[in-house]
Amino acid sequence: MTIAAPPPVVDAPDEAVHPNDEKVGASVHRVLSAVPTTVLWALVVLWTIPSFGLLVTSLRPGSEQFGSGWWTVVTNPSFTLENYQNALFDPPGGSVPFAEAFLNSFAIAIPGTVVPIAIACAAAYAFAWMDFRGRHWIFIGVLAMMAVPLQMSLIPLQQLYTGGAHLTLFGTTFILFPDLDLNNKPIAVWLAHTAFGLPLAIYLLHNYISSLPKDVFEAARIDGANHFGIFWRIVLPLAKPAIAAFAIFQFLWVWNDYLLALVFLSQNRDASPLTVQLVNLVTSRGQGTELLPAAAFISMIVPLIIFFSLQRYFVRGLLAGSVKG
Amino acid sequence: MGTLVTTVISVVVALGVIGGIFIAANLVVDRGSQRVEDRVRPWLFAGPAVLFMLFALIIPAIRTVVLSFSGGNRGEEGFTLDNWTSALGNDNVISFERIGDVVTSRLAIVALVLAVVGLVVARRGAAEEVAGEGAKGFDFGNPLASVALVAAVLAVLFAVFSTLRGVIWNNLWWVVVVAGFATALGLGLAVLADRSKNERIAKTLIFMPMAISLVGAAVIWKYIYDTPGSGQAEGLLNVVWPGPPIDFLRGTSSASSTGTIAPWNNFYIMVIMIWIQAGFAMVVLSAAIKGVPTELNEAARVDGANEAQVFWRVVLPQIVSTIVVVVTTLTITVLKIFDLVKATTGGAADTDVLANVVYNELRNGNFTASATFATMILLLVLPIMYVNIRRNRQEMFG
Repeated sequence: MTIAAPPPVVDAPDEAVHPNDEKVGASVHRVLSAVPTTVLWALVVLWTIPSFGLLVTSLRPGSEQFGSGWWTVVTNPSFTLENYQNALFDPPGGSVPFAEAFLNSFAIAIPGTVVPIAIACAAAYAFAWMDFRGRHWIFIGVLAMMAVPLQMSLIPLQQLYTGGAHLTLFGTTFILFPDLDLNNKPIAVWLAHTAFGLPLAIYLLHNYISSLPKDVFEAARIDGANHFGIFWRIVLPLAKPAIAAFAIFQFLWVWNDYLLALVFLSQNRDASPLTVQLVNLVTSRGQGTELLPAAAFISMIVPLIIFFSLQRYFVRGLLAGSVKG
Repeated sequence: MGTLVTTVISVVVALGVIGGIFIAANLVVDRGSQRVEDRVRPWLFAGPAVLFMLFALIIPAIRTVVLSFSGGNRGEEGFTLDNWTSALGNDNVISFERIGDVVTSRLAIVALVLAVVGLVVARRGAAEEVAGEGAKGFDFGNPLASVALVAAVLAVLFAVFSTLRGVIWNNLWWVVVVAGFATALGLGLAVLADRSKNERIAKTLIFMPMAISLVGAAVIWKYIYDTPGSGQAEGLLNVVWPGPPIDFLRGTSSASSTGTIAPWNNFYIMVIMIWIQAGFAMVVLSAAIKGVPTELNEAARVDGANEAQVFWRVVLPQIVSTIVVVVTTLTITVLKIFDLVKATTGGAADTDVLANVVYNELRNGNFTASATFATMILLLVLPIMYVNIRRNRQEMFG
């Protein structure tokens, strides 16, 4: 509703909006109209308390953490950065320092984001603007694969990584996929993420690229550009918003992933990312419990920075990509 | 630091090599005849993606299905139905043993009362609308009637899932609770935000959990649910909870006669997921509500409708399709829930779910059993996938 100039009747400004409330005074109406805001902010406080509590706990010395709840800092303030320092560089019991796990997470999340984008951009352009046999059905296959649970791929992928894939036809063995022994290397995880990210990436980028105006392509053709030229100089620059939305979604998906890192990297502790290290700390019971809140925040800092600084793209990618398998 | 440098270098090299081959191949195709070009070029662009998906998604999915029908731990023994019969015959997976208790449970009685209330209100609503002509049918546009009926359905489902136990029932309970509550909460939050000041900041804070990992969320909520004990302080919920402390995640409680609140401890793990997903539902539904043409609302108000009526009879019917999208999306997500259960209880204390069995059997080296449970998840996702594809096809190809 647009707010128009105040009506000339000074003593009953609300009548225009609520003709039925004539007897109700303006002050009562004002109180009532504040109800949604109050309820909403009460819920916001409720929603924020768990994270806020963890943040406060992460800054308290271990002895205090074990003895009393975080809310006691109001009467007994005592803060330290020691937990963060120990978690990052000197965790107890010889576990991997979180500073290293932090880099390991990047080492998986960067290729796990860049590679699928490169592959998907080309495919999305082909599906949107090239004519070839089976295009329709392959694209429906891509849509179907978006919802296929990744649990369906775990065992065969693990076998592919360790043994490769061979096809024996008429006495000759063809190597379809070389026996590279990729298990327990970061590449095992990000290759899997690349494959699982592709259906969504193609879907998102196809939606965007196919909606670009046809005139742009025809004009470029007349100017003598070929498909590769059009793709490189016109499609990629124009598709930047869609690429950014997917990139953020995929990066956070890979960064926050636990299952694939657990399955493909669990025998290699030195390469394991933050999520795996965090759960190790949760289940270790006893040693280093006081570092748990700090460690959790170290694992969340990158997603939170991305969330607060790039929220517009984040929302766009998340909404579009929420059906991912 | 070494890992990162190696990674960056290998990515640059890999992209350089692939890009180089790609550009060179395109140059070669440029020289060929138009016919060759039209045949080959599309596959130059789409080929890498198709190959990737073939090797990592399609062939593996087929192999997993085949594996679920194969004998031996690694599928070396040929076709058999044993994996399926032993999984579905296991009381820990799906059990109908206490089905009689569902009808007599307290929740079932609550559901009955709610259903009667809902139907009576709907009946009266219909009677008022066609006053004088005699009431016909029911009017479910009334807020009270629909809320009572929805609550009745929820109570029935809770009665079913808290009585019938097994991994499959538990996973379905997850779907109902998280999809139901997160959507309802998200809708409520979206409506509230629509009428509030500082809407954006509030929405940002509620949406925030969506950015962090499920593992991180599990740690956050550990400090809400903890019982006082050695090495940990009392969690916030236990502080405000009346009565003796309860281990909300593992279910142990001295207040209960059985010493445990299981299977209701599942509900407290689901709360974590609701905490995360309500923000998602809110953002999607908020966009839908803002998309409802304002002329419709104003016309209804001019006709004398109050705020509740405007929402139930004008706004809600307009956003039904968006609500369906949110519910299906959440259903797909929750059917595969793994991280949260693994990081809170590890599947112990009556909290196991399908994806956790998939992982455990894989770790035990029992690949055929793992594949069977993975295929179960696929079967549950399949109907939703079908609906999604149909909707997308209509949008895209008409």
